[in-house]
Amino acid sequence: MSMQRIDAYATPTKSNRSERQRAWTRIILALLLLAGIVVWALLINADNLKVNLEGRNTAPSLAHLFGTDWLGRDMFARTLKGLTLSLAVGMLAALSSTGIALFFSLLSSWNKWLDDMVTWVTDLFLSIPHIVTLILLSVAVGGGFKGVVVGLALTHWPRFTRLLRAEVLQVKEAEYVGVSRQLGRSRLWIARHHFLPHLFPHLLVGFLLLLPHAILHEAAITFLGFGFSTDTPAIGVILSESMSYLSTGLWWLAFFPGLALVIMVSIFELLGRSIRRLAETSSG
Amino acid sequence: MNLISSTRNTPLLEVKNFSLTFHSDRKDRQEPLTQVIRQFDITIREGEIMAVVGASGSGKSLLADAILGILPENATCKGMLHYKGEPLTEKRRKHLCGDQIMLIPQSLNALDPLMKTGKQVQTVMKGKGKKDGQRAVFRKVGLPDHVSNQYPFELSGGMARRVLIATAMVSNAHFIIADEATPGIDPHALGEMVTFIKHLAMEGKGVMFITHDIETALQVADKVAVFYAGETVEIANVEDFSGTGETLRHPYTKALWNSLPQNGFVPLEGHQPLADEKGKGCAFQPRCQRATDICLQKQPESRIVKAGMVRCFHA
Amino acid sequence: MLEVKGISFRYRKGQWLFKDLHLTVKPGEVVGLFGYSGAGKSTMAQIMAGYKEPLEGEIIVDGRTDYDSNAHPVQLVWQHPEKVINPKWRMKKLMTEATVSDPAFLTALGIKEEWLNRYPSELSGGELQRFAIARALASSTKYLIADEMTTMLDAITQAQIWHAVLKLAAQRNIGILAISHDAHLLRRISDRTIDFSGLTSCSGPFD
Repeated sequence: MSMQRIDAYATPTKSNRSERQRAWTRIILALLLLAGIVVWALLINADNLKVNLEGRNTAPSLAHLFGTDWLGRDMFARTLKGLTLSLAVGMLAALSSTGIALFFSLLSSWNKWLDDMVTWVTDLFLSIPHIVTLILLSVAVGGGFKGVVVGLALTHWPRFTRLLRAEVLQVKEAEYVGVSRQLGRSRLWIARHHFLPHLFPHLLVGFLLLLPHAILHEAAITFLGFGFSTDTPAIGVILSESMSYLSTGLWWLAFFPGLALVIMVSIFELLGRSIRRLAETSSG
Repeated sequence: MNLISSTRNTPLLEVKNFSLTFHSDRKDRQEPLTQVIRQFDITIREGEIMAVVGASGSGKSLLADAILGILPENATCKGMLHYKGEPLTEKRRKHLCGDQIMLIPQSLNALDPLMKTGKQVQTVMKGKGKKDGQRAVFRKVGLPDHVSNQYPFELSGGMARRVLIATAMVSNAHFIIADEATPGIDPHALGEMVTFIKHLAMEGKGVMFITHDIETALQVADKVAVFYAGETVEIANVEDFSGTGETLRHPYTKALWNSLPQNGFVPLEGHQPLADEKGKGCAFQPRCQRATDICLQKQPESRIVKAGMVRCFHA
Repeated sequence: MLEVKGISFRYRKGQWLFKDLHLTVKPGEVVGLFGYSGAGKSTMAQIMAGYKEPLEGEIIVDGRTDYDSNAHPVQLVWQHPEKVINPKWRMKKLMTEATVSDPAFLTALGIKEEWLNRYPSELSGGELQRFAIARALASSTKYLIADEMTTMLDAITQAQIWHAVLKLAAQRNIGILAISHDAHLLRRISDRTIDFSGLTSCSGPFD
């Protein structure tokens, strides 16, 4: 027989509290690292990106931490620029995807027919391999920055929509929502005042966890040649160019930009998971 | 002194000067500590039913949690908490809870949804003849035989409640805590519950009957401890509740008695102070007609008046 | 007048909970209703307040059957206030959900102004129920259904709340249907008391 009880007095317990503190530390650390990348990239001297044929193909050294490429450009500067571009694209795409997911999940709460439609569209998108839809959309819009962002935005919402829809349908059944309806509150009012506050933590976490996905997929389609044009300092472009030099022993051209990408993606994962932990242990 | 008589005289549960404090990590609270129970005294003997009556938020349920050791980690208990004459330590508690000390919970969800009810009752029994024992107890609480082969979801609320009571009956628990075990049930079902709980006491078990409903408390218990804002303001005998409450000691108990619909239905202004609203004086003082200066400044100590306990300067 | 005209209800294809149920509550009248647990009193209350549709029959409020987008003139107060209050709201916000009538009523219910800044988890059940009642008695409310409204409360709070509610109901000529197991309480507050099993030709499974 269970002897647990949820009491009005129950507040976060001690272990909970230290867990929250750890989560906060991780969040602050992650934010500092990300801010560091952006600020550094903005401060970079444009000279480093210029072609410098005398100093081409040099291995990593103190002067050029990540080495230089076949045109003598500093790989560290190129990687940082690439990361900030990825970040910007990822943000824009993840934000749009979150918006779409939120819209669809609220639409689901409207009536049975709309809910069926939303479920159908979601399932349709989920049944096609992600990367295929992404490439198709990107090419259809005309590639480049616009193509990548539109493609990413329109492919990253289905899974998130499913999650939000489940949350909305659960709150919709709550007694306090029924009372609100009987008090004459409109559907929009209920969505704004009951559903949104409930969804907010999910939106934040979902957005942060979409970011790394979007960034990786951006790099992937650019690498495959369906994304950014070759003159853009994107990580995908850097990686795909480096392929032709790998056999000649210029390993640093792929290694450092690749590693940097993985690290940034991991930072976002960490941020998202820490915030989710924080939301879970919060007493409300 | 001989050992047998000494255990006879030792109360089952003895609580003295017990307090319970919560630490808060909320920044917007001025007080990081909230005392939800203070200066709590109670003694329960074998075969005795002690009702603990109080409004919601008075801390009475936390008392049960404290005895069972299921408080959240940010709670600190102080004072004496003895079971059968010895301190109820963490280690002893593990050994005793569910065996010698048992809870009849408020929520029917306490039944295991995946186990047949007969089996659930048998799990708390010891030795041989479990099946016969379980059948006998089902008959005693008025459950037909086939119920033992049913799952909790197949039972009505009243039947599930009987299964919980049957579990307490067959267990060899000596001390039973019933926490709001009779919420909003009809008079017929309530009458049955009262009989069953009295039955437990007749078998020599001690019962702590926690409720907000003074009427039920008076039907069940021998003594009534009245809880207000985390304190026992009075421990009265059931007979004290009569007329317009002249024999009652504390003004709150009197007000409670006179607010019953069958008595005066007299309301009382104000509200019970929340845990962080308490002043340094008597907790009831803001609503008390007899309050004087001393009530504002000091908390009254507990005193024995007319064979009962009271915590009031003017009793 | 709040008229329940021959309503019937059952869940799915189960047994009828009640059939052809009739009941009227006049403005300003307090009707006490008692009956066995599980007989369908709460389901009837939810139908009367518009939470559920009856399978047969209709509810007529002051001659009308539709009040779609407006606040329902029949408001229900439930036994457990925790479920009808959004845990993420401060109490202040709860009071904006309905057009709450007059501040004097809040005081009479024993609601303190400081509580408005609190979250539900920082108040006890008794305090929350006072807020739920204040909200249910919005200015558009003509009838109140109190389904075991004070069952979970102590006697003093119960008396305090009922005195305030009855006074306001008398002022605004609100009709009340009070559902309770407490015969003493019903006798004290009601103009007339009725047995649920007498309202219908077939009443649900007894407990």
